[in-house]
Amino acid sequence: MISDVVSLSLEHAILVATAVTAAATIAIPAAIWCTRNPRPGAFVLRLTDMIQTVPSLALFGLLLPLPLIGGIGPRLAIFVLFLYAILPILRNTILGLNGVNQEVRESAIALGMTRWESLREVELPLAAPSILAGLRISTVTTISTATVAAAIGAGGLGVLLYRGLATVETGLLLEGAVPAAFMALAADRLFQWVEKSYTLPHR
Amino acid sequence: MINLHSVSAERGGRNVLNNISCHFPARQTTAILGRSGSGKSTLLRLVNRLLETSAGTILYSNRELREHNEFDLRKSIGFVPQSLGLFPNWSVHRQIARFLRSPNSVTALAKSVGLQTELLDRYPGELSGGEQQRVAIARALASNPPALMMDEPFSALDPILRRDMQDLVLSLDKTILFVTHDLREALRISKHIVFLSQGRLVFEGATEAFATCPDAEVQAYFRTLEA
Repeated sequence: MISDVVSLSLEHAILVATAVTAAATIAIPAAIWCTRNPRPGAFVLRLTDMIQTVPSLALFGLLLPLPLIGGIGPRLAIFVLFLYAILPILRNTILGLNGVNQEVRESAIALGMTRWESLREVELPLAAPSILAGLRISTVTTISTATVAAAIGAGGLGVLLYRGLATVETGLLLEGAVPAAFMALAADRLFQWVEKSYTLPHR
Repeated sequence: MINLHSVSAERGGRNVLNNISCHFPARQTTAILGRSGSGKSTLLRLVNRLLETSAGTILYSNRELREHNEFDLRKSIGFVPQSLGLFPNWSVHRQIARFLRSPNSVTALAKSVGLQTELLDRYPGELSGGEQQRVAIARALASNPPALMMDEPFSALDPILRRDMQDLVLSLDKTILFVTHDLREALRISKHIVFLSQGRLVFEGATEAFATCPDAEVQAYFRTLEA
């Protein structure tokens, strides 16, 4: 019983970690591109906004028959979770980069830095707290959305929730819900702790 | 050192500089004077190519700006913007060291601008306004540039500190382009004055000759010194 919870938790964590890592890999560069190209950037942001409005269960169902990504199992689950994880990271990275003081950016260029150097050495570190907040929100919501993935046979803690719902057993429901809640809480704390290390010293 | 020939510039589709021809002599301080919105800051940003001209040519060391590598050009012109543009997440030491070129050293530079070396480990947010000014100037001088551009750098300082910073500028042996809207400051630190009004050149010449300029706006400026 306990080993069930542990192995399903592990499955759950792997689903979430894979989806969020993939989302960050796409969303952070995309956000940089969006801030450099504001007009098409606004379109990209609206597109990801739209994905967010589709209920997750419906998205699983809609993508199920598709080749390559479709079909029962973790592959489709990770793809859907990845789609949902993009928006908070994209939005917060754009917010963080746009929040960098105009004169700070200008002086980096005026001192002879290339745009890439300015981005890497000045802008991204300044945007880091906002980017980390995006990763935090994305991870926490993905942990809860991932429970739905059990509906398409992707495993994870959702398995216990569906089993509990079907048999009307509160014990089983709690075995799924409590570890998921703890996982979300732990992720939240971890990211907050890292965010804090980026706080700037002040007089 | 820097020559402008019939230079015009647009910003947001509006002409902000019209047909400006003037020069900035080597190893002297030129004050670029004018009221708010006269095009002073735009003029500076044309010289280090933060903005591009819409017409005319600019020569830097007798070569057209476009013939210079833009990054090398900027490294040879130190820049101190109005709100300094210090990187809030960099220590003072790093702000200077990142742009350092021999034979400079961080501590020697800090000393030359009157910055206590104990402050090198601090961050800009931990410094006073005057200390931040000195960091911005040290950073601009780090690459040992022959020229320095300053965009109203002292407008937010108290009068005593402002005088200290003006003395610092007077002690530098550089080609300095100093934007200000304060006549008193311009008269004190410059040998050469360029006066702009609504994007047009009204006066260019020696600072001593400026008072004799008959233009109404120039004379209005001088009346502010009376009483």
